[in-house]
Amino acid sequence: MAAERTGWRAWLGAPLLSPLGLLLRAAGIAAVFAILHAFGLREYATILCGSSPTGGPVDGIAAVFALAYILFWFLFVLGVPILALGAGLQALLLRLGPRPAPPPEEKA
Amino acid sequence: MQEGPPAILTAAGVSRGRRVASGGLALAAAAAVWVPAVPLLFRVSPRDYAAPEGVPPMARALAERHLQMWTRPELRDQELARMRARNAEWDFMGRTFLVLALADMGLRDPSGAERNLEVIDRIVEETLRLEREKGMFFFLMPYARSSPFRAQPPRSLFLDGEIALMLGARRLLKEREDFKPLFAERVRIVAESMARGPVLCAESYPDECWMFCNTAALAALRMAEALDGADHAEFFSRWLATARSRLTDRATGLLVSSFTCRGSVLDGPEGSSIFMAAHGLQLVDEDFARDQYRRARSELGRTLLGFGWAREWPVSWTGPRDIDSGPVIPLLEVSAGSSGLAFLGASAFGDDAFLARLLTTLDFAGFPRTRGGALKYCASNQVGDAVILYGALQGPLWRKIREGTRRGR
Repeated sequence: MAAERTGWRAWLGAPLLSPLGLLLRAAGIAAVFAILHAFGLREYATILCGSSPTGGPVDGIAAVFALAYILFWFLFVLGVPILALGAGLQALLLRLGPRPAPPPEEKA
Repeated sequence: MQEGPPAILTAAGVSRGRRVASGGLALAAAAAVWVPAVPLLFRVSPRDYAAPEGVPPMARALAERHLQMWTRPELRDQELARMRARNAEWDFMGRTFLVLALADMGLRDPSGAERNLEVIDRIVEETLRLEREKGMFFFLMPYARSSPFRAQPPRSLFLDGEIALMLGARRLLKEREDFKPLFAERVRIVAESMARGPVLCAESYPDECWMFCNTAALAALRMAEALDGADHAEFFSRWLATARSRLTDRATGLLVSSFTCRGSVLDGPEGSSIFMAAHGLQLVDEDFARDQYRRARSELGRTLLGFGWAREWPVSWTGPRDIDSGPVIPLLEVSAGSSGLAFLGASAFGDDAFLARLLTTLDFAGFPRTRGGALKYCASNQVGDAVILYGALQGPLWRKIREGTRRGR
């Protein structure tokens, strides 16, 4: 049986469908979007109208940047609030139901 | 020892089934609350975009970006290179829509007209120079060379009609003597080439006539009536009769977008064509134009949860995804080209409900960016932004043409 995680490992290792797991995913998406935005990839969204982001004949890498930015924008606007709201609602549901059993006491 | 997170956050001690069920239920409830709320975050008042008088703030910010572009060559060269890498037509159309928008802006706000005139002149003079030095093919797609034009020597109504529009718009804002003969010559070429055609339309590409170009050319002819007292009334009535009988899609009642010189349909009704066509026809027959817009709105316009967009093709016509439509988002069938021109249609025909939804989509998925008071939409390009700008400002120029035509009679 795997040893119980402690410290930051316990925070980061929260299951996906748990309040902390949802919040971590929301924070991860927001962080990636912030990085893409900071690198100026918003300009590359011109690919949506069929224009070249770079003005060059081939836009392979630029297209990947553009699609990544567009994907993370929609995840940021739609996904992050849903994940954050969902985390709060799940915590509420867990609190309303039977309390989780306390973790077993550590042996000396 | 380091502390872990509280058990309530990790759902520790909760059975897997209860954790998954509560998580799924929470996410579904969150989505049900959030998704309908999203359009509220991106709602833009149509009055901030288009107003009967004055220059609304959004239009002013959009115009500022274009004015900067045409006064700072490095910005312009970069933007034009991005468009020309895909389609040289966009470079040319971006000029036309910007000249029309700046002329309307000058009529709305005479205090800023001088700066607008300066940029209009720069655009028109440079366009004429490029056409003279590099030929008409400079602004056409490569397939223009694939076969001979029916008309010899070859001419493209795409260029002649829109250059006439630019020259006429400049003269309507403020007369410029040396543009008079240039305008008269283009109008003569447009009128003669259209009148020669079996369906009263001229080609933009070899044996390929476009409704967009022909209706823009009709608007230029109407400009000539207002400016120089020409009379094309008889031609207009023959053109309308021909268009109704031979260039209309039976399933939708919409004008088709492209056809051969003899009138064989190539492409059916198309969003990237019909909204501009209806706007041009407002100068020829307002009732017919309004009917075309109403049909286009019904066949191509779509709304969902406060968002609005336009399809490229009606459901009854299967057409290709081409350079005019831009990439089409599957399932929703959102076309960038059609949706951009829908702004012009909705604004020109006072469809505020659709305009509000289009604006919400633009703010959400158009990736606006404002710097130094200049607004651009990153998901668009110069021609797209110029169309949106013209949609915001259109009105005074067309009114002036109507008044000029009435006075001339």
